[in-house]
Amino acid sequence: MTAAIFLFLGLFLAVLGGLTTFLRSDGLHRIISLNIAGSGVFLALMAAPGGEEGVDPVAQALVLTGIVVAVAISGVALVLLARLAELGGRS
Amino acid sequence: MVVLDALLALVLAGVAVATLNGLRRFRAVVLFVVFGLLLALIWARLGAVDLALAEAAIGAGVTGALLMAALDRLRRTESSRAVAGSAPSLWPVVLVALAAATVGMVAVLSLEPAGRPPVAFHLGASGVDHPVTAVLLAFRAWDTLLEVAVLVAAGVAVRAVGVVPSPPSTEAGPLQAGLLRLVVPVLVVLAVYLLWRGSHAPGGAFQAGALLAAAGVLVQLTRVPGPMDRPALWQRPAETIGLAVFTAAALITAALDVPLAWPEGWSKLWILTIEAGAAISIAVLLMRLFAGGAPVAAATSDPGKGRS
Amino acid sequence: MNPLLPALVAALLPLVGSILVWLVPSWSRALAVVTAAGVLVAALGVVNRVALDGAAMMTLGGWPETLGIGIAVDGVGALFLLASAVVGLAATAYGAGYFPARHPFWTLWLLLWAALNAVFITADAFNAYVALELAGLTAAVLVTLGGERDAMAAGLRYLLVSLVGATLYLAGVAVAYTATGTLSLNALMADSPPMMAGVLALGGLALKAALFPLHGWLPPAHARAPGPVSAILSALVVKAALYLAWRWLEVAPVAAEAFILLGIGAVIWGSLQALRVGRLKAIIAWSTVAQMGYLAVGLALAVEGAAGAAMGVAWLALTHALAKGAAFLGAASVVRAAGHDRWPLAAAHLRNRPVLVLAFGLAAASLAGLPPSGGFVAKWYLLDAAMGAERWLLAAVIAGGGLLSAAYLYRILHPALDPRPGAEASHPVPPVLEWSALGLALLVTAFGVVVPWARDLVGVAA
Repeated sequence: MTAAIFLFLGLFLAVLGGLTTFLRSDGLHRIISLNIAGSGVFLALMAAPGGEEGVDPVAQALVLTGIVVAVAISGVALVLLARLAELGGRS
Repeated sequence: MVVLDALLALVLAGVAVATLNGLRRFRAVVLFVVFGLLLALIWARLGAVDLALAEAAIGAGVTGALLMAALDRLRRTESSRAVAGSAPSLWPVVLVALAAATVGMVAVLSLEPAGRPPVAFHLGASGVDHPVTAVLLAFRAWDTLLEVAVLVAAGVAVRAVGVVPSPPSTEAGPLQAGLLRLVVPVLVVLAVYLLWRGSHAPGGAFQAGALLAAAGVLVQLTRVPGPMDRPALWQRPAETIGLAVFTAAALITAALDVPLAWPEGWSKLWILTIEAGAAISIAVLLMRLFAGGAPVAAATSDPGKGRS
Repeated sequence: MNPLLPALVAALLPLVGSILVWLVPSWSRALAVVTAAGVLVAALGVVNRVALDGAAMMTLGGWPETLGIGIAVDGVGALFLLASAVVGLAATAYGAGYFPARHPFWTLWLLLWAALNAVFITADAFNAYVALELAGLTAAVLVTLGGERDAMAAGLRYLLVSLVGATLYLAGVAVAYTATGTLSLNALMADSPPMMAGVLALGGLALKAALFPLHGWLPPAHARAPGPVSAILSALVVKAALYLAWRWLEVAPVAAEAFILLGIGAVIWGSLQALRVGRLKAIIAWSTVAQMGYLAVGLALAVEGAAGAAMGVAWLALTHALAKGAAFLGAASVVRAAGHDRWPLAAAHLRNRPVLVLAFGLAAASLAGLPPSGGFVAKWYLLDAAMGAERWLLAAVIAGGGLLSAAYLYRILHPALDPRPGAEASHPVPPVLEWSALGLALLVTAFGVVVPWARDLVGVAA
């Protein structure tokens, strides 16, 4: 039951974040919404049924990798955003 | 317990909507950090302790720091506009998301159960006792190697885009210095502990690296100039040591027999060595992401284009 | 020796190179060229291996296929690796004449190269995700290296698009894994995950491959990137997404018809825009949008089993990589000479530059599908496959599209072949820049002749 709640939450966040990314125009807000969408996908993956006993370690490893990759890319996107603003452009 | 979980889910959903709603950037960033911490709680509720650690340290902590740093730079350049971009009403999106989630949940729950990768069966042969570490560093090591490469690329990228923004003119006061003396050693010890612990319990290179990065960001915030601000000989080796050790391990094992198959009996040593190198690099690279640019030699007063 | 060792080396060697270049920047150019030579040797080794012994697959670490990450090579993968190696070598040589040694280009390019080769050898759906993210990150930052505001904006947009595409792809992988419990692409082909997995994954990949109507990010990024970067982007980076789309179409063939529809749109829209824009690099970038349309149509035909379509697609991917690489390297040289790429104004700088003119001519011939170029052979195979499958509309599009390509390529060639003297002074262009462009162009023409060898190779399916 717990898992089903979080599965629903994950899917909700994924779609919410995804749609918001298209609707917002500000770079910083988009980076945040993309991160939320990604978190939603991770949550759905972890909460989905399938593991025999205990938590699926492969799914955990995948999500961990996803978290790190998301941080790396978000970090670069933020620096690009800041630099662009300093150069006088719009994001 | 179901009530707690339902409550937790509701609050997280609410925080997410609040984060995505509204125009003010600062508000969104702060709420996003809250989002990350709540998500960490949910990982813990699902039994994914490694993820809880990582989400708190990296997802909420580091990402929050990066967002704040970017926010600061954006504020300095743009005229005082609290409003950023356009923000249409979020309610239609929420409804669509609820509908999609319902459909999706029904679809997923109606799937026939399928087998999962046989981690427990091969855990003994992996060299470590913790399943997640075994997956990351033994069974799917190639993914982790590329992941470290992503971090290196991010560090190089940030240096390429521009130089570090000019640091504040005065050093932080005695309160911060005192805090530093207390907190940094604790973080370092915790990091080493987490690194070693990863071989038999939740922990590992990424969580350890994030803790070290947190310590580094504290130093970067309080010292003027910070460790990331001036070029120094240790920077590039520290950034690349993780990838170098991992790639060397891949090449050596490829030459010996099967690539990325750690020699029998020595697996744990190989894995810990790779993780140690990775943790150092992760820390330095995350610090570089926070610093937001390439280091500048002291004599230069012109913040021109980025230099290595 | 392990048959897949050269394949893995092709991905590992650029990683080693990137580390060395980062630690000893003054040796960047020499190190990069040595790495490029090594990658070429490795790629040729893979081609040789596949031609002699057939396709091969292994799981890294020696673990069972259900647990570890698989890498595999077959005829198609070998050709993509070869394209990567050859264009990569040319781009490296070009870069040596274009960028100074102490420049972040070298580390970023070598990391990108490692990621691309990792995609071409992977047999694991999640591994593809990580490699794609590495490729997207490095490529986006490479776009910004010129430092101008427009390039920075285009690069940021590219990065965000890349992240959206990767997240969509990841969602597809998550659905597939939840339903089947495996991440191996081979196993997914057998187990048939729910349609949503394929839709999401292919949606993300279509975005990354700039398939119409998700192509908007490509022309600004490719046109504003510094010289050799544009060549790398159009020739190789979009091909990585295409290669994975091929694998995923085999997992979820239902999407094939959508690819045909979108591909037709890409051919028409891309060609029309290429006729309209006023800068040389923009014309070439829109040409990429159009050519990706052909590739999408061909992919769908191949997946639906049309005879000879697989050969056509693989061959078109290879020849397009070479020809587009030559075109962009040539364009970069024009920009170096003229200081801008406004067309046909900049064509004046092609006077007394026969090497460049020849490079453009041969590249254009291949892109338009004129004999005896490699591009002609590719289009021929595709046309043949379409007619064999009795898809007459597709045959018409392939043939008609060739006319459209000829039209926008004529826009490039006509001023190039008969340049009016211009008022602007011409900057010197180092010979290595011109000759690397010509090298690729000569190769793609030569490939029009050595086709039978490639046909046998493509027939080696995984």
